[in-house]
Amino acid sequence: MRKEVDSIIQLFPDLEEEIDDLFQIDENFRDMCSDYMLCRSMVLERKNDRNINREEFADMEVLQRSLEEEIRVQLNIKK
Amino acid sequence: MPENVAGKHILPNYSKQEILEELDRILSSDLFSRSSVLSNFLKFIVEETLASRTDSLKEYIIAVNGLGKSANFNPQTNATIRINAGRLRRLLHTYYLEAGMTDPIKIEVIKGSYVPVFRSHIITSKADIQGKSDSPSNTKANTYSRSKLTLAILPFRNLLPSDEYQFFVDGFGEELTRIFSNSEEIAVVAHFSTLKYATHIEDIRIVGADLGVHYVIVGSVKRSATKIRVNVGLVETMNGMQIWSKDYSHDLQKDKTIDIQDQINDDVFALLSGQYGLIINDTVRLVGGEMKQDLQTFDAILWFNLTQITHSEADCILCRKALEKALLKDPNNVMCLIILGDLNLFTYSLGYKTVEDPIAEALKLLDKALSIAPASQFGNITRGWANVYLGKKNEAIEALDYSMQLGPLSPSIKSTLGFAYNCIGEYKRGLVLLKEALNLNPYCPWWCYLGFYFAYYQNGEYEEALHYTQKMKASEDVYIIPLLIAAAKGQLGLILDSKPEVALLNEKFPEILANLKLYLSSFLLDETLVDNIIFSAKKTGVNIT
Repeated sequence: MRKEVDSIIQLFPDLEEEIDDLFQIDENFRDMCSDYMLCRSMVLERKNDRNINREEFADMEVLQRSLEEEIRVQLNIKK
Repeated sequence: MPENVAGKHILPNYSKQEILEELDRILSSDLFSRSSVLSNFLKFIVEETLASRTDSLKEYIIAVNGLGKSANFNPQTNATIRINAGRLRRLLHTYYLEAGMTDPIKIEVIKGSYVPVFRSHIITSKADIQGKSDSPSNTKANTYSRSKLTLAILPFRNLLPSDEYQFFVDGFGEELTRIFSNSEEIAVVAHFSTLKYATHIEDIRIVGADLGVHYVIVGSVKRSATKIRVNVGLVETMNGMQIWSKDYSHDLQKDKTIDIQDQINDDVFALLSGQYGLIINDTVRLVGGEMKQDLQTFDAILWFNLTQITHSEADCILCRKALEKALLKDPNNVMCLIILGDLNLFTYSLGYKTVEDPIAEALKLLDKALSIAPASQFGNITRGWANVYLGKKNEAIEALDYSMQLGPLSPSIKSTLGFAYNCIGEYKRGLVLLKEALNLNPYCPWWCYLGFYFAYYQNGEYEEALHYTQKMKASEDVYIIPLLIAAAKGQLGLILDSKPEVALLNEKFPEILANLKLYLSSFLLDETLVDNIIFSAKKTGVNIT
C-alpha cells in the first residue's frame, strides 16, 4: 500500500498531505490509485515490447491520462 | 441465461422500459457525454442484462462486443476492462450525487461483477433532499412522518496512522447505538445497518434517506504523539447541515481507552438526548414556524416537547388535540399515553382549562401505558408525579426511585427527577440531581430553576432563590413565576420592588389567587413551603384570599 501511495506522490509531489489523507479514508481513491498503478505498469511493459499493438497501446495511454486526471480532480477537491 | 435469473437484477416495480429511460438519463448527462468509453460500457452491460444475457458479461465479450476491441483482445494481459469498470463505478457514484440525485432508479456496478444492479433510488425528489417543496404540506409530511425522531450513529472514521486503535474507533458506533437505544424520545437504527458506511462514503442526505433517519452522529479519531483526539458531530439529514460538533482531547494511554470512550459517549448522550437535548431542541426550532398550525401532519410528541419549553396555555391545548388525535389512530401508543397523562397533571397545576378530573384521567392513561410497557422510564416518572398530585409521598418516591433503575440518566431525566424530589420535599437529593443535570447540559428549561428555587427558599436562602427566578423564561400564562418573585422579594423586604409582579398577579390571575393554596399544594407536598410562599406574597400586596 505504501508503494502505491509513494508512486502517486511522485506524480503529484505538491499534494503529499492530501494523498496521505485520502488514502486513509477514501476507498474510491485507493481504487483509483490501484487502477492507475496497474495501467501504468501495462503501459511500461508495452513500451519495451517489439511486437507492440499500437492501437491497444494508444488506448492504454489514454486510459492512464484519464486516471491521472481523475486523481487530480479528487486531490483538488480535497485541497 | 433464463429470464428469471436476469430478473433478479430488475426491480419488480420497474419495467425494462423504465430502466432504459434511466440509462438514457445517465448517458445524456454531462458527466457521461464526456466519456464515450464509459457510456458504451454502461449501455452494453445494461442492455445485455435486460436481454437476460448476463452470462455474456465477461471481460472479453465486453471488450469485443461492447467496446469494439479487436477479436485478439486478451484479458489475461490487458486489464483495461477491469480498470474501466472501476471508473464506471465511480462515475455512476458521482452521477447519483449530482445530476442523478432525483432519479427514481439507481443503476450500480458492484465490485467483482460486470452485471449491473437496479435499485430503487430512495430519494424521490430534489425537494425531499433540500427540504423544499411547492406544497408546504408535502414538506411537513416528508419531515415528520414518524412518531419518533430517528437517529443513526455512523461508524467513526479512523484517521490514525495504523490500525492499532481500530477497536477504539469501532467502539464508538456500537456503544453510542447501545446508549441511545435506551432513549424513549429517539429511535436509533441498529449498528449493523450502518456498518456499510464505514467504507462507502455517501452524501449524508442520501444516508438519511437510505436509513430513514432525521439525524446522524458522525465522528473521527486522530492522534498526535501524546494525545488522542475524537471529533463528534450531529448532522441533520434533510439538508445535510452539521448542527453540532465537539472535539475531545485526551492523553494517549492505551490501558485507559475504554474509560476515555465511556466519558466521551456519556457526554455526547448527555448533550444530545432528552427532552431538551440538542436533537429535540433543533427539531422544535425547525417546526416552530409555519408548521405550528397544521395538526394534520404535526407530530404530537414534538408538540409536547414544545410545551415543555413554553408552557403556554395555547401550546398545551394544541398539544392535547394532537395527542388525542394520535391516540385515536393508535390507542396503544405508550409515549402518547404517558405524555397526555403528564399534560393533564401539569396543566391542572398551572390553572389551565383541562379535562374534568385531570388526575383520575392521568392515572387511567398511565395505568394503560405501564400495563403495555412496565419498564418505561418516563412512564414511571410520570406515575411518580401522579402520586405527588394524589398527595402520596411514599408512593411517589418509590416510583421515582424505581424509574432511576430503568435507563440512563440523561440531563432531562435528572432534571425531571430533581424537580420532582424538590416538590415532594426531598430537597437534598433533588438539588444534587438538578446540579448534575445543569452541569451536563446548561440549556435546561425554566422549571429546572423552579426546582432550585424551592430548595433555596425553604432553606431561607431567599437571595439565591430570587436569583433563580431571573433564569425562568416561560409563557406569560404561567402565574407561578411572578408569584415566586414576589414571595422572594417579600422575604427580602423588597416590597416596593415587587410592585410589577404584584400588579400582574392581581390583574391577570385573580381566579388562581382565589384558590392559590389548592393549586400550589397540588404539586408541592411541603406544606410549610406553600404556607411561606403564600404568607410572603400576601405581605407584598398580592390579593390572596
